[in-house]
Amino acid sequence: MKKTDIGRQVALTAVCLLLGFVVSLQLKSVTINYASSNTEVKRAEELQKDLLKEKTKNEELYSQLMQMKNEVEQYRKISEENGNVSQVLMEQVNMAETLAGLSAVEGTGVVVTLKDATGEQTALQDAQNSIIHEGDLRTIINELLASGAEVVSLNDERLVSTSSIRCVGPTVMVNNTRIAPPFVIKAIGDSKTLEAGLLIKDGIVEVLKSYGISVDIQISDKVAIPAYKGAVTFKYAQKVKQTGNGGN
Amino acid sequence: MYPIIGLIIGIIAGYTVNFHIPPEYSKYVAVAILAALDSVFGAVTASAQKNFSLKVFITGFFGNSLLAAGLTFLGKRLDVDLGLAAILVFGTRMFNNFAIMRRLLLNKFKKVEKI
Repeated sequence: MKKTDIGRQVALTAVCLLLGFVVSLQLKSVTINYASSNTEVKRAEELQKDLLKEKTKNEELYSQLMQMKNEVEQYRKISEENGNVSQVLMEQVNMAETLAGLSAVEGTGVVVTLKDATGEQTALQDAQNSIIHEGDLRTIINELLASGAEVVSLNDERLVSTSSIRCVGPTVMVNNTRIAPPFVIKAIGDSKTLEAGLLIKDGIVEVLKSYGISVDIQISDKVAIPAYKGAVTFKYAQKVKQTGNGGN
Repeated sequence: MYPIIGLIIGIIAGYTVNFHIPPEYSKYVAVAILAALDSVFGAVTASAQKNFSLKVFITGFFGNSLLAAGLTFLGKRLDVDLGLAAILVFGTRMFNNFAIMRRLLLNKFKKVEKI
């Protein structure tokens, strides 16, 4: 073999090696990229991954929360055994917990059950009006609070001072939990007043019923409302230090 | 012989290596491959015609690849698909080279009739 021939062979081999490498790399990449090139698919996949991650995180946090709550419970038991002063404090704590929605409560009140309209539609009904919107729920809850409801829950989600009720696609999100019809609103308060407030002339119930939405109000002596499931933390709000008496 | 072994090794290496080209660079690599393939086709044809030059081949292989990728890049910037120029030129040349080879081979095996 001549010297130039060896050089040629080496160069050709090197070039072919490079070519083969790049070609197969590109083939592989195109296959991979094609699978994820559809941006919508990609987006959905990403979102799904994110959702899964968040769910796991959520579960972890929830278990952490439960653990914390258990700890608080234990501290309370210890302090309960420590006599009088702490008893007064205990009462205050209980009161504060009820206010904050951290303890389950029961009492007289009403249970309102709402279901989307079914059956044939009348002239007043159309697809938009025959389903319950988050605004309807807010109006009902507002009405109940105006009628003196002390504690309100929506599908067993206790409403607290930071609760929000909003529309998320076909579902309603309350306290960051998604809920779907039928909606059950429980309110503790004077049951007669609560019922009267809802059934007021031209009130929300009447409007909803005119759209064919089923509204069922039941008076009960024992409405049980669970505790708020989330954590109550204040990151930004800080207590104002009062200077002297009547600082406000 | 060795070039073919090199090619096979390259293909296997490309498949097994744990890396893939990001989608945004895929197009540049594609035109670069086209240019490289054109060079290889040209080399094979030149070899068959006995006027192969290593220098021409090597410079063509890398130069054309880079130029094709560069043109595509420039095209993207100018919003004109200049990569098409590379595709057209190299595609045509590959067909031409293949045609030349075809004739050479046919003439080799069938010496009776001249095509």
